Amino acid sequence: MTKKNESSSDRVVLKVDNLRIHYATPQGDVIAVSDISFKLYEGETLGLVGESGCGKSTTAYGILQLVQPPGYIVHGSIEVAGTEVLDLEEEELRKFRWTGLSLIPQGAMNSLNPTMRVKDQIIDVIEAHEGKQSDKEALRERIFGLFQNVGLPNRIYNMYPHELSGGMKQRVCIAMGVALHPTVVIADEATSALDVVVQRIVAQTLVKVKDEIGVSLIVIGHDMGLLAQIVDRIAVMYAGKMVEIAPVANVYAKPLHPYTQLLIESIPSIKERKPLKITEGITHDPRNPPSGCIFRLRCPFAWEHCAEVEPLPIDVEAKHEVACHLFDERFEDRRANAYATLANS
Amino acid sequence: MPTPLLQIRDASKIYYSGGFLGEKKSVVALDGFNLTIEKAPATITTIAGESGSGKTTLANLVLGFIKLTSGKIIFDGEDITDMTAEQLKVYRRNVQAVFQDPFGVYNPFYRIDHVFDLVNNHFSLSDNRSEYRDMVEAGLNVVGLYGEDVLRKYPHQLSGGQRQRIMMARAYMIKPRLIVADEPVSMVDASLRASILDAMLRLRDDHGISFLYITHDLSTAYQIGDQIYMLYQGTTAERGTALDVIDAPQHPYVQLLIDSVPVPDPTDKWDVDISLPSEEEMRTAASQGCRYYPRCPHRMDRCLEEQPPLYKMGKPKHEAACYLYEENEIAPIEPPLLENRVISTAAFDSGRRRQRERIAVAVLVVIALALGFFVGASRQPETVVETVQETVVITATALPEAAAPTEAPPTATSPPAAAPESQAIVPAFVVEPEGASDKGSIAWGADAVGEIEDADDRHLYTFAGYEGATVQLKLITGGRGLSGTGFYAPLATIFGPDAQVVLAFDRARRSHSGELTFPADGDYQIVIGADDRGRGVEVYTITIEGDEPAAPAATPMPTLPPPAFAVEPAGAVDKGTIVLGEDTVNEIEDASDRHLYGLEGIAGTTVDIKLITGGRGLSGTGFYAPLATIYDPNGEIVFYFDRARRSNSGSLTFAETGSYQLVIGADDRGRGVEVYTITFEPADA
Repeated sequence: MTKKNESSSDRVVLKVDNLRIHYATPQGDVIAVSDISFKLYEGETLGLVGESGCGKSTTAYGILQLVQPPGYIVHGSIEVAGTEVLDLEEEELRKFRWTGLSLIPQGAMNSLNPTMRVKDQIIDVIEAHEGKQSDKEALRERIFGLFQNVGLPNRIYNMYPHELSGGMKQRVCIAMGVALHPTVVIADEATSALDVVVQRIVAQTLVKVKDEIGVSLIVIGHDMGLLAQIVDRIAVMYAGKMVEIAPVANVYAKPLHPYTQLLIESIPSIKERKPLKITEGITHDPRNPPSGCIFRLRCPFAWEHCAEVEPLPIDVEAKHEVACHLFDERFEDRRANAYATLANS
Repeated sequence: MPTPLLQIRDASKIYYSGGFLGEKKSVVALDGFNLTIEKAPATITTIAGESGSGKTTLANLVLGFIKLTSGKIIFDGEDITDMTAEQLKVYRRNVQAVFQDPFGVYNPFYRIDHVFDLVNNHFSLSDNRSEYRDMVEAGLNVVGLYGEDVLRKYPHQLSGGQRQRIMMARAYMIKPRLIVADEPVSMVDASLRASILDAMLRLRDDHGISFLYITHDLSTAYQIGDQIYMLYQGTTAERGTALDVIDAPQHPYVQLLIDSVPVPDPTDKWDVDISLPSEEEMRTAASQGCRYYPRCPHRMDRCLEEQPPLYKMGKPKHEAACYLYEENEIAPIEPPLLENRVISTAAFDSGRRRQRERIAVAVLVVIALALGFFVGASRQPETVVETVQETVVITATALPEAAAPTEAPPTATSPPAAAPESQAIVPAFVVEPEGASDKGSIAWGADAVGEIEDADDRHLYTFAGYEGATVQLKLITGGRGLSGTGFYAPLATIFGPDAQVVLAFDRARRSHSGELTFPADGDYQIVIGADDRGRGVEVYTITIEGDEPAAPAATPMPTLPPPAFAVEPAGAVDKGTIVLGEDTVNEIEDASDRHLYGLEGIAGTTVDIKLITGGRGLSGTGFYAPLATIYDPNGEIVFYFDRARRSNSGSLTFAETGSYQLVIGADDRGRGVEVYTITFEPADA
């Protein structure tokens, strides 16, 4: 008997290494994703967070090889269960999507084909990969099984998307996303357009299906409350950089990177009224990021060293990395001071 | 009394579709809605609800974009539906809007200063160039921005937060008295929302501008809101101060909503899996009665009859529209309309008629209460009421004719049948350890649990305890099948060596912990079973943490104890025999006060039984359980009320002639209950 959220093993199913993605503009390239590396473990749910424009969706689309021009992958490696995604030919890649990697897109409610019945859309996905299915009865049972996984009633089998509510459409997308038992599913803001009760149902469905089918999940979002409920680890991005990646309990109990701290502090609560924590967004020009640390212009603890040297990820404990000079052993005194300041504020 | 800034009375908006060839359909977006915003001090009034609740319809009505189907909107004493073009222009100056999408409202080809130029042209704020620039700068400063940083930029060069604050600055320059802000933060990053909320607070506190803040985000409402209206399908489910409502929601819908707001704390996870009824169910039931009926875990037959009025809750201005609070005072209808000029409309008159009818209902209720149906003082809804006073009325319209009973039935005046003492009376809805499967002994510090598959599957474990030793217990469960109830109740109970309950887990939560100090050496038992509605539960882990004790002696399982939370007729007050049709009885004062009645049954006759109860103090538990059980002459249970519902009915065919017993008592959490009426009526022949 395993407990929820302790299901992740140490087997790496997705390894992103030194991935860099640019968007070409006439004024020069915008650095959307800047040399990020991370691992996703088997059975794990990883949350990818950051404010708009931090590159979280671009990272996801990069992994799926769906970056559209003028965006392009500059360099890097993306390995899914031993397969280097960047080396796949177009036809191999087409096969790999849905079976190796699948996406539950942002605004999934609008990504169903309005002219096709729900069943036909799911059959389409299955037949595109497994060929024409001769046993129609088995196919139907299989789709009913998928419906059951995501808590949908069988009667929607013959319905059109417009006959379904937003939450049901979202669950159809989840059903399609897991139909071929992919290794990794990426859910891009899969619940952000839903009412809070429906959001809870969809989020719980996502986690349940993940556990039942045994896939690994990347959830992209900015609702820190929702992520606290459903993920095992959180990766925090800022302006194209990954600044911290940590087990979820650590992120909320003791965020290490100054930006993660800011993110946690700015979560509105329904338990207590607290002073508003006012911050501006990303302030630098994404074509000319500051030297050294990407966050130093907004960081309350930055000093000269931060402008000179870019901080590299430091392992602070198992599965917990932070890219900040404060956690370099050489600057232990500064870290103590910084935390003292924080405690007083 | 000064004229309020905004008064909305009995406002309804119905959208019609079809009707030419097909069937004409209507959707009620807003139904008899009332709202008052006072002039001073300026406030932020939140309108919250899910999509389809009517909140955006309300915003559009107040902004004058759409017209009411019936009712009135009065701004500073002027009815906005009857305004002339001139008056409307003044109104638009007074009531400004900030919309959801901080991208769509800007023309991407113009710099930011163009936004302010347009305002100046339209409202002729100033002819003087330098005076105008000062006004723009002042407006930007109020929302925490500086002209030099933003005015010469293009919209795409600013963050969503900055763009929304510029819209606030723009609204501020016109010096409105009310800003309708429709989801102003929902498309902005969480980390930038605070700056917008801060701008709203500054406009409210420093510049006396009130807000109608439309949102589905309860956390921001909680941070800055004054009053809050929780809308459900066009009606107000609950209202009060944002802090009162969100801290202690009373309406079942609002409870579910607030419980569903994800808490940013990985150690505080959602209690239960929930599901929604199908779309059709949710729509069709809305025609009459409470709109939340199809989804409500507390629904009663009563809820279908008429839409519940707003009842007063404990805190001032806190009101909820739910019959669970029927014994509370009905909230007064809004203060009378204060208008500068009265324009009578048919719609308004019908609204007033409805108000009068509601007053009449209120008066009737008050009279009924005075007549003795209700003896309680108004209560604090957030406290669990331990003491309950009530009356049980037992009536029967006609007794079944006992034509030729073989034995003379006991007369009405005969002493009540004594409880059959020799027989162990086992109530029906508790875990019955006899049926539990023996799962062996638990080793301390190690997990020891399996899955409980269904209501019949009960597990029993034993473990050793040592007098004075203390262990930490934690029960973590995962639920299935209790959709929408907000309630989760595995029965996990620990019995001591003397068969007494030493610890029972709090059933209102999924994650329990507790400390147990063993009262004596010996073998303890833990019984885990289905919840008391007979539904299966899934138990993940029970850990018992503590020092590893000396190896417990393997002992045979002791005789299982009687369950702990049953009514014990032995402790009940003997209330005599009920004469069906005549007798009324009693008050149950508290958890230890249990009543026992004798009933004379005649073999072969059937009675319909109806129990109507009114509960108090069980708010938020989704659970209501008076124990009302009928035992036959042999001490067997022949009838008990379904505890999942408040309104119960059933029928009982007396199997034999003799003395039956009815036991009424507290629920199995030891809380008082209030029983209004039990009726026994002969069944249709």
